[in-house]
Amino acid sequence: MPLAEWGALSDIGNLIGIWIAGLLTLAVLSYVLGDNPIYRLAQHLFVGVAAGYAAALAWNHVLSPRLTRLVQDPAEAWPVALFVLLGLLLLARGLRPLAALAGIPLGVLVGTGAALALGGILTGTLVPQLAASFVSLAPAAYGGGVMGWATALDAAFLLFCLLAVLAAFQYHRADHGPLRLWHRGVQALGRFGRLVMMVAFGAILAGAALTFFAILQSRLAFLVYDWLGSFVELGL
Amino acid sequence: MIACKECGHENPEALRQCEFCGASLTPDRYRECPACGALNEPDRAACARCQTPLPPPPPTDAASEPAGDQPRTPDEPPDGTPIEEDPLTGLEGLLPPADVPDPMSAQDRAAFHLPSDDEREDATLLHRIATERAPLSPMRREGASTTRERMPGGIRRLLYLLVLLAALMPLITGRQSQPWESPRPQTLQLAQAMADIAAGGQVLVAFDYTPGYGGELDPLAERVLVDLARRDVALVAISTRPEGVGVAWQVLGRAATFVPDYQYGTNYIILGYLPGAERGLRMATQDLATILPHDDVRQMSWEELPAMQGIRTVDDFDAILLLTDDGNSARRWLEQVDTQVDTPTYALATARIEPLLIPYRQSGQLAALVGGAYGALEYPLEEPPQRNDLHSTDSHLALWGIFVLAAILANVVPWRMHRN
Amino acid sequence: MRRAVPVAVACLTGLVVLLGFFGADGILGGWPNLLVEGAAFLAALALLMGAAHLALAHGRRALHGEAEAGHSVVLVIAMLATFGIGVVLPGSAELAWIFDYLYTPLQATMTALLAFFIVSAAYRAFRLRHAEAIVLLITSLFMLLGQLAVSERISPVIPALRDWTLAIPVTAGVRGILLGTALGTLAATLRILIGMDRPQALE
Repeated sequence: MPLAEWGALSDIGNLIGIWIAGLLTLAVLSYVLGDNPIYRLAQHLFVGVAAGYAAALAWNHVLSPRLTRLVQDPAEAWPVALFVLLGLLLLARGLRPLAALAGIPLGVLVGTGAALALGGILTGTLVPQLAASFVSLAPAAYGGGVMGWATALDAAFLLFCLLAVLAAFQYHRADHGPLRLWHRGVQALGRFGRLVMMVAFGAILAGAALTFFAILQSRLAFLVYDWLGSFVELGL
Repeated sequence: MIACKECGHENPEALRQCEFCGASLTPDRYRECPACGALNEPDRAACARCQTPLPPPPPTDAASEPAGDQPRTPDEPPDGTPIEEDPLTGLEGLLPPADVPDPMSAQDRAAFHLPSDDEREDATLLHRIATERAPLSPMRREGASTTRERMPGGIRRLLYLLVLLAALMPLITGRQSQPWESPRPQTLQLAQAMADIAAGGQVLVAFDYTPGYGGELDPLAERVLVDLARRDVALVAISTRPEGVGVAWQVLGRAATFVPDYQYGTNYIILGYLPGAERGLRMATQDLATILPHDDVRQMSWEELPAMQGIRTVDDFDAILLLTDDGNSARRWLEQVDTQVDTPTYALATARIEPLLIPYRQSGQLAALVGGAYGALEYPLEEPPQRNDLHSTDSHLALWGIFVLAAILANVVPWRMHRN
Repeated sequence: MRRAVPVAVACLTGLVVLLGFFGADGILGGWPNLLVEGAAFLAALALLMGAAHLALAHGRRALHGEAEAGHSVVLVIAMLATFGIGVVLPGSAELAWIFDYLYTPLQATMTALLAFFIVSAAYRAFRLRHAEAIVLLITSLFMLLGQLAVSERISPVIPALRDWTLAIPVTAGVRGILLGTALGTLAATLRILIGMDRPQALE
């Protein structure tokens, strides 16, 4: 069950758990000093637990309920039979005479994934993000006055920065021909776009530092309060 | 994996240089075009990008070998490659160079501007900081970023020690800065939105984060969930990652213990794992009961769970609370779910990915966005659940000091000390 | 023929699902949802197969006594034990114990290591080699200060400037990257759906 009492030792299982977790935490932290066999052991243990946990959840929530439904009521659950058949074809990937058939379930996976990604990115990212960028630049639309002007200027600057960032992805440079001036302009805009991107990356770097630091603190808190705390509670 | 010819170190296939010793890996697998620098498949006669004839391939010794001996989970990417969910991952496979027509004249090719080494290095480093999930072996990645310059060992040890001391600071200072803290408007806005959900309402809680990021997100998630539970809002947890279900057990299970008479089955449910990324989310908008027919804790069907009454799809909830440590997973929720339903989405994200979601908040697709690192300190809640933790503004200030010191040292320490 | 079948299947299922996405379920009956559910089922099965493959690879390594064979034994035992308990005792205290005391500390501490390594990364990124590095340094130091819960008490200008930075340049920078990625994905998925492309998965 979930940790009912954070840090309190409700039973011997939790006590053993806290000790093991404490030792594993130290084993992984030892990597700061350099690679070592204990860290490698912890790493392998983690991969094993993670893969086993994911596989168990996939079985419990996806495969098992459908197979049960198929066994109980095959007539009603006929699509499941179809899924199982496709699944068997997927398993046949390693068998040479049947390997070609494994392309069918893979085709279903790729086709559905591509279709949903296409629909999603169009309706969920491209259209709304473009719509949010091309907004009115008239101060009157924001109530006029100083605030209206400030908001309109912000909207204009946002659009300018966005165009600059898009220009930064343009690596093609023409030093000749009728479009020379245009390309030079795009290039200059792109240089500004790189600076805008650096501002975004700066924000991401700051956020990442805060995130990883918070996680380090939570591990140290576990070591100090729970792991060492368990020694105190046992009177050691 | 590609084994380095110089040192034998096994590198992820995406790398062009050995992450350990910096030797070039390209001849083993791809050939670099002499004109434009594009990487080409070994069997090509001309560059796929600019059609310049390629020199004959060097004799190879079948240096690549299949993955499998490198321990990793099936859903975890190999070290050094962009994360699996990155939409650009595998694009080289989706858009094979053979199909790209030659759009450039010889003059254009000469004028083609390639990013400098410095630009590439910065882009790689920042892309990793921005998008990678927690790796299995972080040191290797750091090694990958120090192929040309190295941080002097003494400075590294000093900075690491300071980070450790800063993290432990509340033990020393006892949270001196707490009275100075003031919540920012977006945190208060989230609290107000949660307060506006009527008693008896139902909220879908997406635990889309791994226990790796629990240190940051758990405290904030717990506060918000306790707040909702105290006002008798039913909470239904799901996750698009298997490990998110375990996180739901930890966080929702613990939050429920702080609210008297808040019962599993009646008031809160851990429904389980939605498989197949976009596909599972799509099904959740169509027919949630079909994709997740029973709960995770008691294996009971929906009819036996009072908290699921009146729910058929995501649209039937009053709100979606998205707890996430991954920009791509959050994007999928917005693209597959938010476009299909009227239910507002509130995101609690790690500070690391918060900037990546800001455009969605600005466009109104996210009704609120709060970062975990500061949100837990700022979210207003009477009698908050007690936690033994070290999160405090004192430590954050110390961390800021360390970054200032790093910035000074990086530019004061003589250049030659950074060379390998 | 062998190559054409998966591409044809991908095109066909993709088009049906796409029509379903844009609300044409009426014409297509329940087929779009059925295909999506089937694909989710296959994705879960693929996850199981991946785990099995991992267990086999490490089992082989352990049996042949290759380097780190002992580690492989630990991996296989941990995986089988977790899977076995998860399947036989779903939703049990035993499974929660594994998650709370093995999974969580291991993964959380691996992520915590990055707190040290990001300082190294910042040190490298802060070397003022060009204009971009100066902007990066100033922004990240300012944003780190601005994110503090006490920033308003230090100066009311800090949160105001932080919010403006997030609202304008950060939004523009990230949106530019998002739009670029979205366009790339759009092109790639369209090519799959009209059969112009054979993704590597279908090879």
